[in-house]
Amino acid sequence: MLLRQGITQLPVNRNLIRTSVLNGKIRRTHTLPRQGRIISRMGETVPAGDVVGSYQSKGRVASLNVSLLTKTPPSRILETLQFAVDEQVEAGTILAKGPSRLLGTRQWEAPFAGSICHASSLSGHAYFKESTNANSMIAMVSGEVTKLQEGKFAMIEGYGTCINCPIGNNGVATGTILMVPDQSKFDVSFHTEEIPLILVATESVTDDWIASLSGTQISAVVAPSIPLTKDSSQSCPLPVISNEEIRIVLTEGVGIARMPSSLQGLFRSHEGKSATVAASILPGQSEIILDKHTVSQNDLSSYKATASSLLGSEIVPRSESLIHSRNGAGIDTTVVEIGTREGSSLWINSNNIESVQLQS
Amino acid sequence: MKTQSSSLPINTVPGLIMAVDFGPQIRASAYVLKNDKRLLLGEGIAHYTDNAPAFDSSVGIDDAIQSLKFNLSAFMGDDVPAVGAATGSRGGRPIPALYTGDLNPNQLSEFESVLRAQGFVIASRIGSLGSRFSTKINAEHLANKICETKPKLIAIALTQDRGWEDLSLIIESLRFIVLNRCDTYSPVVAIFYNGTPDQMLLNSLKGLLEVRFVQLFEQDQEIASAETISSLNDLYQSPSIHNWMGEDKPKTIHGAPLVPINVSLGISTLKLAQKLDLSITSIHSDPAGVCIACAKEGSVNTAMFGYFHEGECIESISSLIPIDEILEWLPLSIDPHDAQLYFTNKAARPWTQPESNSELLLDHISTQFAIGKASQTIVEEDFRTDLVVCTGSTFTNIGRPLQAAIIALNGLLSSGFSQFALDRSNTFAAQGALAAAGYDIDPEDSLIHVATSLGVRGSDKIGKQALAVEIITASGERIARNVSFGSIDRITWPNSSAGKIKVWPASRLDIGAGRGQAVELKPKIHSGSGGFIVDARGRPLSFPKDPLKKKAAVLQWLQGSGAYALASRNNTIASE
Repeated sequence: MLLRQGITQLPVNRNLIRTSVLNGKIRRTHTLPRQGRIISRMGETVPAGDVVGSYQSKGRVASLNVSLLTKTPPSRILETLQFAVDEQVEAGTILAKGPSRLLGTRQWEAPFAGSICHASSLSGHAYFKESTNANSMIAMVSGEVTKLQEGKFAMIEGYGTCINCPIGNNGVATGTILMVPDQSKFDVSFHTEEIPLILVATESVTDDWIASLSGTQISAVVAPSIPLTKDSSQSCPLPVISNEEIRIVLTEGVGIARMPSSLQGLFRSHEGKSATVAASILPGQSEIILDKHTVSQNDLSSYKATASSLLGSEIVPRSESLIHSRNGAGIDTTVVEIGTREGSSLWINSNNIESVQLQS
Repeated sequence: MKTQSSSLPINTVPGLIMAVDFGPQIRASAYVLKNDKRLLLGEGIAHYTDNAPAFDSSVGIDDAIQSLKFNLSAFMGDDVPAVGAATGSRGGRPIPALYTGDLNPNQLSEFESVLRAQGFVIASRIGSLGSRFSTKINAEHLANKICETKPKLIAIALTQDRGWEDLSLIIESLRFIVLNRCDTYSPVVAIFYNGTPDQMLLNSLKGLLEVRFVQLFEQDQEIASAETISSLNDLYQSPSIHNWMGEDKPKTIHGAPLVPINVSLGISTLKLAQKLDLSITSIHSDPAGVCIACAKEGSVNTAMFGYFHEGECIESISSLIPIDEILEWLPLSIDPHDAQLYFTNKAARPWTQPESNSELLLDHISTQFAIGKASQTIVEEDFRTDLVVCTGSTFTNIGRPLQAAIIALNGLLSSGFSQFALDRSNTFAAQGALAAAGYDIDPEDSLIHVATSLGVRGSDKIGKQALAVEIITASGERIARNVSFGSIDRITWPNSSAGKIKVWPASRLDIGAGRGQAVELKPKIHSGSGGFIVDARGRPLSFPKDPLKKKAAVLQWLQGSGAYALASRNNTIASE
């Protein structure tokens, strides 16, 4: 019972309400997804979008028991290979040949352009890896490299505003913020700048509209929601946001929710300036970082609903305290009395709202 | 019993100790030593990060401890109890493992228990190693399997010296195929051996991957030497700390061991079972997963569902739920699209709570589904248990305690008499973690009795009388009820008066003493808030085939249990 007494009558914005916007020092660890190198140096100042590391892209790998093919012991397979390890060859090139037979010779051909990356004298297997381009790992925030481990990660500390989002697809993109209040009137051909754009839609967007942006200078789309169109026997959010080319993050969730006006105001205050979108399929791990964003006195502060039919609605707490009570589902919990923009009043679970006010 | 370690700060309150539970929230609970017994003093709760976006568990732990201090300030003044142990569905989350090796079935079962007792769950298996391993499994197959499941631990157990040569193939597959296909995947390879490995081979295995070598057998040829257990514990701690606490363990819990959730739940369950001399099943459920521990005759078995999927940690079991199976249990008319929308958003924000009756039912049925899935591996067909303990945030935050009993009953489908208890303080697992760290705690203190159930084994015609129940309360009141087959009924009586229960089953049905045999419970039963739930649906449970009748049956089950406020709206069924 002590616990309940502690919770009751707490001010609304104390611990029990999640905050989805944070302003101030931002520290982000940039980890290489696979083998590669960190380019930045300790103490170096890097702008957002700058390359801080590089790593090899994913590629196909073919393997074969060369010892079996060539009828040689594993310790001698290097001698039987037609090319040295790491030597580049084209698709179709013969990599190893078996002993001659009456009905022809068995051989191992390169299934794609690449190189033999390893020939094991223990197992007798050789591994042929596809040639891939190097990928860049970019800085998510402008700032100083404060910690790094060679070949692993670099930590960068800078200033700005980050906006937490519930869900996205995977990847990081940087660009300049451009507000899109009406998708039907947005013509991508008008935007010919070399700097990639991050489109911020204020209404729910569709898969088709995002697909129509492919091949342009659009690096990411920030939208409040995407309607659930694909039928699936599972409720996994992965198939909902599935564009490979453009990074997408949703500020509210899946459905047809609008973006709260306070959040729109935040993006508008940074329009034309640099930002980073870090999209992740893991719940709550996606974010938008408004680089070097400063808080102005005019910035709105409000709350938004994050569940049920009110998803994305801007709400105003009527009372300064949380009340311990049962909610509409009969759960004994902390609730907040809220008023909607339309003027109605209702009680909502404190877990189902988020603060959008800027907090340092 | 451990009193106070020399490294811990000295408290003026005797034996004050704290446990931290990393669940959907962080809970710090404090216990005090009184008459040689540790009692729960109170709790402090906080979000992980003092709110999103930056994830920092140390902020959450500090907040939870501050909240605990605030709540108990009158009692303990400025004393801050030391953290004795940490557990929970995040901090103590099971780690998925892939097994390959040459253990025989008995050894494998023993090896699996050893892994489970240290927080690892074998999520996938690949063939068996041996002298002809390379002909049975090729590198591609191995790599595909690893890429599919992305286990955090690859456990290779070899009892014969000959398997060593095949190891190179596994390590090569990992280095040159798997790591090239999977982003940010970095498993630990643990090689459990029984011989003297070739030094040149060992050197060749080191490099890109973290490889550990662990002696599998002791002199007496028993699996799980002290070295094995210590190595596994070490292997468990480092990825858990890395996953949930960044690079370093927060200072406030620096000296406390991280106890896997299944281990802490298992210890609490076993202790309680030994104390009460009962068979006990405990269910720990929260949005990320369900863990079950069954303690019977001095041993405990654990099972899990959720927590991770294809190598990734998940925060909500919603993403693993087949919508069709959930809707089968829903008596309301909910559009599958709406249900999917609810679960998808729930998976993205697992901390949100239902706002309506239909959302509540969707949550509860998904929990029931997860309990059913988790229990499949450890619960026998005719499952009987004396006591079911419901713990974890799903149950702690539940609207009515009776709903917890119904979810557990529907998930486990136990037969015979079972009692249901609810851990309102959500400290049952934390107490097990403290026990694992050497602090003796009585887990019964935090439990409240909710209801007693009777499950009927066998099948009969729907609607035919299945059971006659008689309850005579201590005040002399007699309650008699006939219950039809295929239905659920609930009997309540004043909680102040314990009742004597006698039940007569129909000739085809069994309630524990054999078909048609009446049973009179020796102990008198308190009603609790849930009363006596008479479950005459039969075991195994079968749904009517006709969709309308199926909906009507589910509606009767939920209405009959009295756990939910559901109106009978379907006129079509009523007119039939």
